[in-house]
Formats: sequence, C-alpha cells, structure tokens
Amino acid sequence: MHLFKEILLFEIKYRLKRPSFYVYTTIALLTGMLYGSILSGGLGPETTQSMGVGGNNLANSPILIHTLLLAIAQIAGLFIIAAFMAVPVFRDFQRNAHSLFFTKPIDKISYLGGRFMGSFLIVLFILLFLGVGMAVMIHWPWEDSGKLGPFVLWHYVNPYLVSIFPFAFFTSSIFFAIVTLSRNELFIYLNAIVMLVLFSFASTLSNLVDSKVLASLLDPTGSVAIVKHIEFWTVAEKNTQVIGMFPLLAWNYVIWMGVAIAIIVLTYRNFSFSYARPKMLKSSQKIQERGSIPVNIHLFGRTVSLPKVSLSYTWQNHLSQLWLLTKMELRRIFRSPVLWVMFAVGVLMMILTLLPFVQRMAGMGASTYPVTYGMIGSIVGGFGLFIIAAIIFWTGELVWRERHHRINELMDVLPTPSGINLGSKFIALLSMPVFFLLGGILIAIIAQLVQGYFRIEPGLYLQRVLGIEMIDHALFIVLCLFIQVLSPNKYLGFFICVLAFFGFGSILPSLGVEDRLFRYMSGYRLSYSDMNGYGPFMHPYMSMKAYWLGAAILLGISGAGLYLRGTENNWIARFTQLKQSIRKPVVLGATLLGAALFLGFGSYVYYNTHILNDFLNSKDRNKEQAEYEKKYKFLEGKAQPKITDVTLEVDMFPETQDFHVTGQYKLKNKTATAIDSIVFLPSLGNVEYSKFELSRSLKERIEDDDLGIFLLVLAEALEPGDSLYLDFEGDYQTNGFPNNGLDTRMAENGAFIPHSYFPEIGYNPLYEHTSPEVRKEYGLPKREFRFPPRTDTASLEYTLIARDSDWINFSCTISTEADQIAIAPGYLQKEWEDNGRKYFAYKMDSKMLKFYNLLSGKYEVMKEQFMMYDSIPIDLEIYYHEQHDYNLEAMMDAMKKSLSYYTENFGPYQHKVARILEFPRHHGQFAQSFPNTISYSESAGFIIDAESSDVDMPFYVTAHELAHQWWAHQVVGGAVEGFQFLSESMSQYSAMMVMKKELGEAQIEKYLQHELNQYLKGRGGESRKENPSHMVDQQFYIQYNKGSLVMYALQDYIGEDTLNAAIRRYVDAVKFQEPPFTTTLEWMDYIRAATPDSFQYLLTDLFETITLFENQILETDYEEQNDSSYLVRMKILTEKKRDDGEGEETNIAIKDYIDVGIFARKKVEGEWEDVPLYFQKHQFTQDTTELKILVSSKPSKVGIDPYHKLIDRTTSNNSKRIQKKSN
Amino acid sequence: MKLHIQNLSKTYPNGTKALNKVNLTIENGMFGLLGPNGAGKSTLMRTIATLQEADDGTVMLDELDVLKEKHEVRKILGYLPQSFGVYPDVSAQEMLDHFARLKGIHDKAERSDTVNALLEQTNLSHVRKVKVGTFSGGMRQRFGIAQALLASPKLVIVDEPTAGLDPVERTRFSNLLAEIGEQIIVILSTHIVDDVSDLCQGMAILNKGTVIATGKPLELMSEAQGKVWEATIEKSEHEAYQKSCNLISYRHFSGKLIVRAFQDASPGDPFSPTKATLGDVYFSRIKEADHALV
Repeated sequence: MHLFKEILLFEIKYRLKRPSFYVYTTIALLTGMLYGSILSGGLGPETTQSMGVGGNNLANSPILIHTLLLAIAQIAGLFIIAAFMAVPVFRDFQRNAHSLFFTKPIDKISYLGGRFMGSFLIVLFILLFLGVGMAVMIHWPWEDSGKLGPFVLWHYVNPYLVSIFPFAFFTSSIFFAIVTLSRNELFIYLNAIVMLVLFSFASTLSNLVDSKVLASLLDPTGSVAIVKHIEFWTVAEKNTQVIGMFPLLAWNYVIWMGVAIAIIVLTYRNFSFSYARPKMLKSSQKIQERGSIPVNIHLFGRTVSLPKVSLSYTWQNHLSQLWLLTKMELRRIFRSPVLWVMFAVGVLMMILTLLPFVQRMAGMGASTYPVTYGMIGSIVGGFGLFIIAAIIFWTGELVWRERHHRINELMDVLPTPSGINLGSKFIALLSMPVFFLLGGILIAIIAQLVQGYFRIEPGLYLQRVLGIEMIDHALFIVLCLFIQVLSPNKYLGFFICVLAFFGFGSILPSLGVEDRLFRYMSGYRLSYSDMNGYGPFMHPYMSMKAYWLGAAILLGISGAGLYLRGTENNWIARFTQLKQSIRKPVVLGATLLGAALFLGFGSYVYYNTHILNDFLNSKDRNKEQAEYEKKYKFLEGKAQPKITDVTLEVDMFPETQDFHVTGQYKLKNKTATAIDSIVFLPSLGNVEYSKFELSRSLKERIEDDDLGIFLLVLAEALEPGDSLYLDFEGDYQTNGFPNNGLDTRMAENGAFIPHSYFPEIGYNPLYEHTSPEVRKEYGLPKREFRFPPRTDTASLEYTLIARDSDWINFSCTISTEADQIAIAPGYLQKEWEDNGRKYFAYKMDSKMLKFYNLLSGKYEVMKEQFMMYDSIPIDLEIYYHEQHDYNLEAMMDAMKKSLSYYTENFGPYQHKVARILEFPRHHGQFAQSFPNTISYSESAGFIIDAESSDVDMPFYVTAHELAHQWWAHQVVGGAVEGFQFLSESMSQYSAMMVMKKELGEAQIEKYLQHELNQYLKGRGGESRKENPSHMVDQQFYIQYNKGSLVMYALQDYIGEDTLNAAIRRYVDAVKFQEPPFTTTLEWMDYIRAATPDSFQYLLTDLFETITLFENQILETDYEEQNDSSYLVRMKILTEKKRDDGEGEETNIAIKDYIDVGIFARKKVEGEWEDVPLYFQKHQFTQDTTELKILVSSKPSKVGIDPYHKLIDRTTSNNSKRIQKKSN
Repeated sequence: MKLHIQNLSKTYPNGTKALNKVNLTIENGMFGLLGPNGAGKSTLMRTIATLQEADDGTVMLDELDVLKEKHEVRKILGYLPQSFGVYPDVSAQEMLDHFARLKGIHDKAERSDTVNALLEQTNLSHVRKVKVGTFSGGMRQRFGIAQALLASPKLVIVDEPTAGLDPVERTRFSNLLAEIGEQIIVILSTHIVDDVSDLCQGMAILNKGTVIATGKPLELMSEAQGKVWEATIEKSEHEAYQKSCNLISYRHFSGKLIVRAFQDASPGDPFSPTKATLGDVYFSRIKEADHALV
C-alpha cells in the first residue's frame, strides 16, 4: 500500500495533462447544457414539451432533473467511463511501458488501486459537469416562461449521491476489470455495446416482469426501481420531492455494488506483473528457422530468372481483384467477435419484441397475429441500431485497416485503382446488414410458425428487408466511407458518422431544415397495409431514394478519387488524383449517371414537393395557424346557420387518388337573430371548388385560399327560422407528392374520406394553437384551453361532434371502381353499374349527427340477419379484407350481445343495420363509431389475437364502439366539461356490463386492475389540472380508465339494475334532443334520485371530487374455535383523502362502506384459487378499525376492498396472508 | 532504362527541407543511396515510389513522368518500404498470391509459378504456409523483397532493408539483392556503407536533402586513395587531434582509440597511411558538407 498515494496522484496529474480530460469535460458540460436548454425552453417550446414540461410540470422539478441526469449519464457517461476506466492499466501494455513499471518495487494494491481510484475520481469530476451544464441552462435568464421553481442546489446534488455515483462505480469497475485482464482494446467496444444493451434490456424487461421487485433489482442502473417508485406520484409530488434512498433501490445497490466489488477483487487476484498474458506467449514467439542455412556468397551479376508473367488490366481483371479484396474484407468482418456479439444481441432484442407477452404488456392486454409486416417491424426495430452501429464501426475499421496493419505502403504502390479497394470495402460492409436482416427474417418466420401462423409472405420480407431497408444501409455505408476517407483519423471519423446519422435524421429538422431535399438518406416513413401494400408511399419514397442514390454515386466516386494513397496527406495531390480518376471512361460514365440521377430525381422531387405542392415547414404551418386565429377570431361568436340536410354525390377514383364531389347542404337559421354573412371552412383536405353557391344572392364574396376561409355576405339577411341551400362542386386531386404530410386518405384500396373534407360552417376554435409557448411566439393572446363549465349555456347550443349542426338528414351516392364497394352511413337504397363504374346510393332514415365517413375498398362481406328478442330484425354486416377473417365471429357475437343488452337497458337501437368496416392502417390505428357504421383500422381489431389476453379485445372494442350508438349518437352532451364522460365513460361502462354478463366478474376485475394502473399513471403525467370524472376535459386517463373504475364501483354499490333503470330514464329524457344539450349535471340528477341515502356520499366521491383511499390490512390472525369455526381478527387502516386536482391532498373523515373479504385456498377446476368465505361491505368511521369475524373453514387471506373498486394508490397491501395466532 | 531526377525539392510543412534540388541519373543495376538519418533518403524513395508529392522538379523514367503518371509507374514498380506490417492471419504464399493478383497477374498457373519461384529464391519455401505475422525480422524482409519482385518490375525501390537485421540475415539479404539483376533499376537506400560497397554499381550520398557525391563506389574510393591516415591514440588525446587534423572517424579498441584522418598531407606521427574505404569517402564527404553549411 505504501505507493498508493503516489500512484493515485500520478494518475490524476497524468489525466489532467492529457487533452482528452478537457475534451470530455467540455462534452459533459455541453451535453448538460443542451438538456438544460431543452428543459427551460431555450431551444423552442416544442422540444420542452417533449420532455414532459408544461402546465404544472416544472422544468426544474427534482424528479425531472434526477431522471434526466441519470439517463444522460447512462449514455454519455458510459462513453466517458469507457474512455477513462478502460485504459489506466492497459495503457502501460499498449505503450510497452509495463516492463518499466513492473520491474519497480510496486505492490499490486497500490498499482491497481491507485490507477483505478485516480481515474475514477477524474470520471466523477467530469460527470459533475453534466449537472453543472444543466443547472446553468435551466436557470439561464431566457424570457421567463413561468415554469421554473426556485433553484435548489440539493436537487442537483442528490441525483449524484443516489444514482449517478453508484452507477459510475459499477460501470467503471467492469470496464477496468475487463480491459485490465484481457489487455485487448476490442473488449472496450464489446463491453460498451453489451452495457448499452443491458441497460435498455433492463427497462424493456421491467415492462415484462410483473413483479416490481424483480424488475427493479434486475436493472443495475436503478432507473427501473426509480421509475416504479415514482410511477403514481402526482405532479405536485414530482415538483417538490427528491428521490431519496428507498428500500428497493438500496437493495438494488447492495446487489450490484456487491457484483462490482467482487469484480474488483477478481481483477486484483488475477492480475499479475508479468510481461504478457500466458495465452499471448504462443503467438508472440517468433518462429526461428530450423538448422543453419548456409550463407552462400554469390557472384555479382548472377541474374535471378523468374518465370515470365503476363500483366493485364482489363475490367474483367479489375472485377476479379474486387472480388479478391472483398473476400479479404469479409473474412475480417466475419471473423471478429464484435460482429457476432452485435448479431447475438440484435437477435435477442428481436426475440424480445416478438414474444407474445411483450406485445400484451405493450398494448391494452392483447396482441395481434404475427402478420408479416409486424414481423418486419420487429426485424427492423430489433436490428436497426445495431446495423447503424456496425456500419459506423466497421467502416472505420476497414478504411483504416491497411494503415492499422502498416501494410498501406505495400498496397498503395500497387497498380490497383483506389475505386477497387474502396468498392471491395463497400460490398463487404453491405454484406453485414444483409446477414443481420436475413437472420432476422429467419427468426421471424420461425416465430410465425411457432405461433401457428402460416401466411408467410417471403416476397414481402425480401422486398422490404433486403430491398427497401438495404437502400438506406447502402446510402449510409457510402456516406461513412466518404467520411472516413476524408477524416484525419478513425475516431474523429466515428464521431462525424454518428453526428451525420443523427444530423440528417433529427438534428437538422429541429434546426428548421425540414426540406427532405437537404437531408441525405431522407425518405418517407413507410407504412405497410395488408389492404393497400405500401400504397401511396412507394412512389415518393423511391423517387427520394433514387435522388440520394445519385448523390451516393457521386460521393463514392469522390471518396475513391480522394482516397489517400501514400504517406503524406496532400490535399492538392488528392484533388489532382480525383480529377485524373474522373477522366477514365468507366468513372466518367458513373459520374454522369450519378449526376443524372441526382439532378433528374432532384428536379422531379422538387417539382412535386415545391411546385405541384406547396412547401411548408412547421414554422410556416404554425404561422398560418396563428394567422387563421388572428384574422378570423372575431367571427367566433357570430350567429351562424346550422346544417340540417346533407346530400352528397361523390365519384371516387382510388386508382388516381382523386375524387369529385357534388353536394347540397340545407342551412337553417336556428338563432333568434338575422344572419347577414356566413363563414365557411371549405375543406380540410384540399378540395378545390368549381362551384360554391348559396341559393341567395350575395353582396360580397371573400375567398381566402391560403387560410382556407370563405366569407359569403348575403345581400339580404337570413331571418330566424329561414333556410337556404349551399350547392358545391369540387375536386380533390392528388398531384404528385408533398414534402411532408402525405395525404393517404384516397388509398387505392380502402379510401377513407372524412366529413371534414367537405364544407363546415363557422370559425372553429379547435384549430387554434393550444401551446402557451407557441401562442406567445406568434403574438397570440394568452388563452386557457379548458372546456367551459357545465353552466355555460351558450356552449350548450352545440355539441363537440359538430358545431355547425345538431341532427341532420343524410343521403349520399358514391361511385367507385368496378371491383370495389363503397359505403356511407345509412341504408343502401340502390346499387347499379354504369360505364364500368359501380354506384351505391345510401340514405339514412333517422336523425343523425354530422359525423360520417365515406369508404371504398375491395371488401369481402359477411352478412347476417339478427332477430333481436326474436322480434326486431337487425342486419349485421362486416366489410373486411379477405385475409383478415380471424375475429369475424367474435365481432358478430359482440354486436348481437351488445345490441341486446343496450336495447334492453338503455332503449331501442335507432337503426336497422349495424356494420363494421376495415380501413388501411396508414389512416390511423383506431376504431371509431359513425352512425350505424363502425370503422376499424386493420390493426385495431381485425388482426388481434383474441386468445392472447384475459379480455377478448375484438369483443370488447366492438361492444364499446357499438355503445357509442347510444352514447353520442343518441345521447350527446353540450360542448362543456364532462362531454367525454357521457360518450366515453358511458361506453366503457356499457361494454363492461356486456363483458360481465359474458365472462363473469372475475375477468372484469382483472381488467379493472389494468384500468386503475393506467389511471394512476395518467394523473401523474397531467400537465394541467386533474378534473373530477364528471368534469373531464379531454383527459384520456379520466374518460376511459377512471370512467371504467367509477362506473363499475357505482353499479357494485347500488346494483346494476337500479343504475340501469336510472340511466334508462335519463336516456328517454334527453335522446335526440335539440339544443340546449345535456350535461353530466342532468345525468347526476337521475342517478342521485335512484341512489339510497346511505350511498349518496359515494356519488360525490366518484364523480364530483377526486377521492383516494389508503386501505390496508395492518395485522391479521385467526384462532380455531372449539366448534371447528375460525375467528378472524384483523386490524384495518382506511384513510380517505381528497386531491384538489393539483396534487394537494387532504385527509378527510371517513364514514364509508368498504368491502371486507376473507378467503380460503381451494382447488377450483384443478387450480388453486382464493375463494371467498366471507364478503361484506362494512361501514368504517375511523382511520383504524379492528374487526373480528367468524368463518366456517380455515382462512388463507383477508382483504380490505380486495377487488380495488375504490381508488387506492397502493393496492398491494389491501390483502394479507393470514397466520394462526401465536400465543 | 534511365531514371532522371532533376531539381527535385521538397519542404515539409514544419519547415524541414527534405530534398533540395536533387539531380541524379540512375541507370540499370543496383544503385545505393547513402546518407545519415534524416538526410532525405526515404523522402526521395517514397517520392519515386509514388507515395509522396514533390514541391518542385521532375522524375522521368525514360519517357514516363513518374510524378504525374503514378498509375503507369505502379505497373512497373516494386517497392519495399523501410518498415511494413502484414495481416496477422495470412500465410506467406497466400499473401504473395494476393499481391500478385492485385499487381495484374491474372493467369493462375503463371501466378503460382511466380509465387513459388519467389518463395524459393527468397528461401521462404519451407515456411510458405506459415503466417507472415510470425516471421522473424530477416524472413519478413525477404518476404518484403519477394513481394516487391512480383510481376517483373522495371524499377525496384528498397528503403533501408538491412536495418535491424543480424549479420547472418544481412548477408543473406544482400545476396538476394545482388541476384536481382542488371536489366532493371534497383535503388537501395541505407546508412550502412558496406551494403553499398558490396552491392552497388552506382551510388549517391545524400545529406540534409542535398546530393553531396555521386558516382561509382570504386571510383569514389580511388579518388580518396592516399588521403586516409590511421593512428591508435589515448582517449585523452582525442580532443587535441581533432583540432590538429581532419579526423573523420574513430573507434574504441582495447581501451584506446583508433582514429582516421582524411587529408592530402600526412598528419604526422602516430598516423600512418592506410587504404581508403567507402566509409572514409562517406565520412569525409559528410564532414565536408557540414562544414560548408556552417
């Protein structure tokens, strides 16, 4: 130990002298500053929101600082640690200084310990700059955005103590050990890869492992433990509380610090002051020639006669040289362990995403069938980053290979053109993604077969994976080769390659360069659909890629020409070399081809994206949106007529992606004032009108095409009660393709025209900017985006579905291509063929909301007539893509059971037909309920594997969507708070009741557990204010998840029948009502009336406030009585709290009825289950209560609210295993 | 064939004048380039071998402009750099075959004959299957010359090939070079005088980028005959003699020094005349040139 201090100080001084220390410190500082600026809004409001800042979430909340610092440390820190911790001992071997050190009287502990600690202290010091940079930029005096709490030093210090230092120690010890023992630089790379994967793997794994404890302990960084720990924290908690050392994290550290220390001990034991690793001895021995070879002195002039050779330099010979070199490079790549580690990890990542339980956890508990495009997603996702990393790494290795082996002077003087050399590297590099992806395809196909899915599409695999994906890889390889050829060293080359990858992909657009023409490799995001293939994406995509291919050819030629041959980097000579190389006919030809592709397709893309279509970047679009508000906001309150009749004739041309529309609206002045002018939003979908006429004469006509507003001033005002007609005719034309936002609605198979493509009336505040930061930037006044309160009578004059209409009469005739079926709401009146086109005339016989879509596709149809209650005939229809017949029965079944339940409990179905239809997934991945028509995205129901989850998703989703035929299409609320309770929460409730009837309560309870978790997570991410469920304001976690919970609890407490009867009375009172529309206040009147006095408090808790419980079994035991009954004693905690919506909780007195359950372990159908022995609601009036209950058989478990009907942040302590009382 | 080097100059970015108006004419046969470390030998060699650019001047191989038509030069060039590495996992035979293909020998039979003949010639036949990475220094140099001789080069450039070789290996290597032939130009750079006197028909001495002597070794030696004097002296006398006569070299011998002087007239007792060697020419010319610069 005596030299420890000496060596430690030497190490630190050595480090401080090296430029790398300053480089990495700067990098750490800049990285911290970058994220600090993002948080505080220095880089624009959009980026800030992406970090979850905004609303009540402070930019410098201790949680955000902590998690972000840890996340950066995991990535940037890993590289810093790799750079510093891998080399302290290895350095001596690398520079052959070890023989100098090892011959000195130094002991192992001082040497290893000193070197380790010295470098480790340096690493810690550098890591501090992440926090320094972040703090500086967070508190930088930008314009005050009001999202900043006061500066608290502890918030920056604490993450280091709790998370970053332990992480650094663990990682450092591994790097130090591996490289010190192996003495091989390669292991730095390998280890870095493995660690990166390990960290991402840990967080993926945490989503899979149900056990919070296991997931937390498996992750050496502790991030998972932290994420789980703060999962249900409210915004207020996140803004103020720091993450201390909680037990799970402490245990995590006990385990992983133990591992780290074990590794260090192992390193110490195995390290020896020897010249070389024993294994290395063999290869470092130079062979000696056997025996003595006589030294012959030859006479001058004895000429060596070598066999005659003929030399040739034809292109065939060059090709054979290319192949020769390629083989050499291939051998190099495929013999390296780095490649195989990357491949293995890629395979692992891919398998992980393929496992059915992964998908189940990711979605709402159901996974889709392993369709080929989904598999392709897994291949590309699993291998994507590895391929990029492999390309960057191997390009550097190959380009610098000759120089690394010091064979460059031998190679450079050979009469082989540089292009051949570089070309061979290109081909060898290209083989790597091919190999990775082929492996991926193989695994994908095996996965499909294992899951019993036999519709394997080899063509699609090859087209996408080996065709489309390879284009990008080839482009990237060329770019990396070019960079490495120009770079003065390999490592700078690596850095520039990484920078280029992210630069072209995401950094440039965030700096405002959105034009794809300026971003190398850019294309369009491809989305495959079974219905429509790559459909509209393929042509623009390929045009872009042809353009970049041209660029790549030019880059490649430049790279070969500028390739450094010789020992001196002379740029003038390299450019001369380039000029000379282009003179060769082959190269000249290729240059011309490249230039032709580049300029030709460049012009073509430019023509499409800038001339045929306007080029707007997001700033332009934001500005237009702001202009819209500035210019026309004044029209908002103006009285406008409402649409009462819609008649459409639409000719769809899916092949050319166009349609023609002729339409008529009847408009009626339903207000009490005369209307002198009408504002139209002519189309959200670029319909150009050739006719847009009112049936009355105009005084003035203003058409603002830029902002999409028509203002028609009537010569004579429209008196209250009067009507007029709007006649319009227009064309939607797809002209080429735009730079961003491809409109894919008019797909070749599965065209989907939403009602918003046709004229709307009035100024629509929904198109205003909502982000306060963006509003400020464009000089818009501050505005709170909340729905008006339920008492705002003006807002009750219209619904959120459509501001410009209440209920309409609707008819629509659609023509389409002969092999397609066109569908609109209503009933098919007539179907005919004319001029090679098919016509479908639809008419709706009852009132409906102005909320429809028009579809056309090559559908298979399943039809069935359902006699509801043996007396009401309903036509059930499913229009589906021929391959997607998996869930048709379940959907039919769901339609029948839902229609029956809803009709019985909520009143009659307003239509004679119910139909489901499928649309291509690039329109979106949702299901939506239109009048008598439910549209499902192909991936949102048709290919879900119903058996993959506890809840039959196709059945459930169908039940939910069908419920909307009542909840929205019959009962629709005014445009105020709580609107979504009446539509979504009520649909959730309806569907749950159908499910309960079908599957029993046990299944629903599993579903509710999922809903509770989603709700608690959702409220933690609330950026505004959490509303009580009855005042929900477009808050998904409330309208869906909390909606399910509170409605289920209500029917449990007051009874399903009582509740449904009350709902029925409400429906009868408000369905199809004219304005003013109903609200949840009115709903509550009916429910209150039906609720017994003892449960009135519950309505307040569930709907009107945010009420939370902390229910817990504190102690429990049992005594066996003489009569072989069992006396169960339990001590129960029941705390009740109110949250003010901003995370401020107050305890309130309890006087509530809560379930108490006692269970026994019994075998039910061959499986052990907890079967209730006792289940009763008890009223609790104090926080702690002791109960004694006698049961007839031996209890195993007791619970307070064991099925989680009430909202409780920790459900794990609601139940407890019971023990026999110890005396 | 003739290699004409005219006014070749090169200055490195750090200001070092590596070549200063070098003029040389080199004919077929072995040509030795002698000079101390840093004289510019390697720069000159690499410039002729198309690996570096010159600032000024021309290099013509008969009609071929070496500086401009690098690709054509490479077709007839054999080059053995001062030091070079190899791929660790490739055998001598494979590696030679690899280079042969890249040099343009595409006929399989021809290539295999050439490779075998070269391995034979360089005494590497018995290790043809052994990885080059495990070769000893001498074997590696012989492998180097084998690859340089592939494809019947007309111009062979060998940069300090014997540095670091033990005496046996050095002799072996010299013999090999001597056999290469008279029909092509072989330029050998070295700072070992014996290499040149043993092997070369022509030579030049390069010092600080300037050619300070050129000619045939025997002629240069004969010019020096009668001007070299040798004496055995005490170490303490060394300084005095350095002042009184033109000492060009000394070596230790049994606790004393043997010194050699280069001058027309005898320096007197204890000096006695001795036979001039190429070494004497070399040391005297270098000393002369250094004095001239001061």
